[in-house]
Amino acid sequence: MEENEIRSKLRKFICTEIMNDAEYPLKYDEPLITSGLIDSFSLAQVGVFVEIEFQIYIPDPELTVDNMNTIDAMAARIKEKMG
Amino acid sequence: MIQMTDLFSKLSITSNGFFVFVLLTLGIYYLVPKKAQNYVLLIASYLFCFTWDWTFATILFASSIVNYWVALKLDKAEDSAKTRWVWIGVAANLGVLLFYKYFDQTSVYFFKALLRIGLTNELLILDLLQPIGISFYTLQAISYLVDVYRKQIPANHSFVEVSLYLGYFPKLLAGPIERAQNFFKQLQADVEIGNDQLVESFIKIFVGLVRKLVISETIVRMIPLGVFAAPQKYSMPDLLFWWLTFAFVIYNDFAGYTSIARGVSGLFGIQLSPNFEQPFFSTSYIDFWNRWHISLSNWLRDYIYLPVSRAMLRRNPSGRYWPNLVIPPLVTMIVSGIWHGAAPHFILWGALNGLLQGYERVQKMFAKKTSIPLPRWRQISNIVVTLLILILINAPFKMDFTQTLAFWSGLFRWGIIQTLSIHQIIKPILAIGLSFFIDVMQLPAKDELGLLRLSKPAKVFLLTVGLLLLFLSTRQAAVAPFIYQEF
Repeated sequence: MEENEIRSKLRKFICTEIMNDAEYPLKYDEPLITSGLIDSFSLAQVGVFVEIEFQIYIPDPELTVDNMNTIDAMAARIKEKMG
Repeated sequence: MIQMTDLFSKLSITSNGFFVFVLLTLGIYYLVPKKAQNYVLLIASYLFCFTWDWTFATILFASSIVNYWVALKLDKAEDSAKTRWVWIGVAANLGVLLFYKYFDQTSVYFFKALLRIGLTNELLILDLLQPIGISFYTLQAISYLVDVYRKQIPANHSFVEVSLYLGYFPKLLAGPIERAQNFFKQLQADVEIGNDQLVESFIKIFVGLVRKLVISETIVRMIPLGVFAAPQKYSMPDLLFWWLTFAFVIYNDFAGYTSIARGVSGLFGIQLSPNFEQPFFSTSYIDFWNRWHISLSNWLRDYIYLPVSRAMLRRNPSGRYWPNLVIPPLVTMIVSGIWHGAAPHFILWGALNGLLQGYERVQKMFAKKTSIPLPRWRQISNIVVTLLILILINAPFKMDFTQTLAFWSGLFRWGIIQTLSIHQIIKPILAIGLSFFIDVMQLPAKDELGLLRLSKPAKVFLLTVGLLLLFLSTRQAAVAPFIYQEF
């Protein structure tokens, strides 16, 4: 799967399921947690979404603000796990 | 004349004895070759523990053996046996903690119930002494075993390193709660201490001492006896003022401890995790818990919140299903409450904080989303409202169930003001001002080193004033033990 496709799926999920605002023009490099768009607790949702959608398990200690603050950072981690 | 036995009795990290102890340890540490340095730290850590009670050192040693051994077993075990070993390890750690920390606390409730129904005619109290640091090193031990079980780190084959991970003396009394991976890496690295690291360590120790001895102790000495023990005797202004000031006692006491511990550890070339990021400038409840006792919050996030939350989301992945938003923080904060103590008021404290976080998540779900920063006045009002609500609902952190209810009902009682003369309030207000001043100075880089970034004259002036205040504060009565040391 291409990184762009991963980004696009992540953006759709975050906007509709976490932000509850499907129309929000979320950029791939826009800070999510440090800007207050989503809270750090929501990373559990991202973790489970990635498990279901991409069949990838991101361990709990990796679900941190430092690692997952933008869609770009999330997609890079997923791509890395996919090998 | 100070006796040697007094100097080295129950070493607290603000005592003269502790600083002599650190200097002696540092001297030996840098004299011996690298491969002997961890042995020096281990011996020093056990001597430190011995100054409190030899049984504490024995329990720590036993805990180190068990965790070292279980981690090795976990590493070698077949996948099917790993789960059994991790549960054995976690149960062993929790068993010791439950026995020493909670047996006497909980047995009181149990035997009182038996007394009431006539099944016994005496209370069974063992008068157990709670080993220093047991709440902190138990969490570290559990995280080590779980990380090995999850194959995030391999088991460490050095008994000295595992023992130091649990018992390293700068963090033994009250953390920070370190992660094995980060700590082991530092124990294995060559220690190189330059002038910059030395200065940073001394600044951390200096700021920590100011927070504890000048701010926290000044306020504690002014709080009227009985205001929290019998809040029903006071009216709203007294209760509100002293409870607000006590929030600054807890903060500066614990942030002061952490800063000293980080500074002392830095002298040995080991960087301990930060625990605070100016929490009283938080703009929301969740933000506060990301800035307060960070090492505990991170532990709870990784080993309680995320597993609970992910398990619930796997059953129902909807982010709009309210139990997914409310139950994980509620469970996490109740566990945090029980970790602080077994009394019902700690469970109430945890539940209230968990509900507040859950409420914030539900509210956020339906709020309009934007990454445009709020206007300055909205940010400030959010900070003030968050701080006030948190302080008020945190009454059960200090007061028992009955006292908490009396305190909250007292907030609606207007009566004679008994304890708020200018003479009584001026020192606490100045101390709170100093606490805010330090926080503002630390805000840009979010660490204890804000002082270093000032101009030279400002640095010299503040260091001189700080040293003078420290000198004056050490001439006063004995220093109260650190609050978190009791946990």
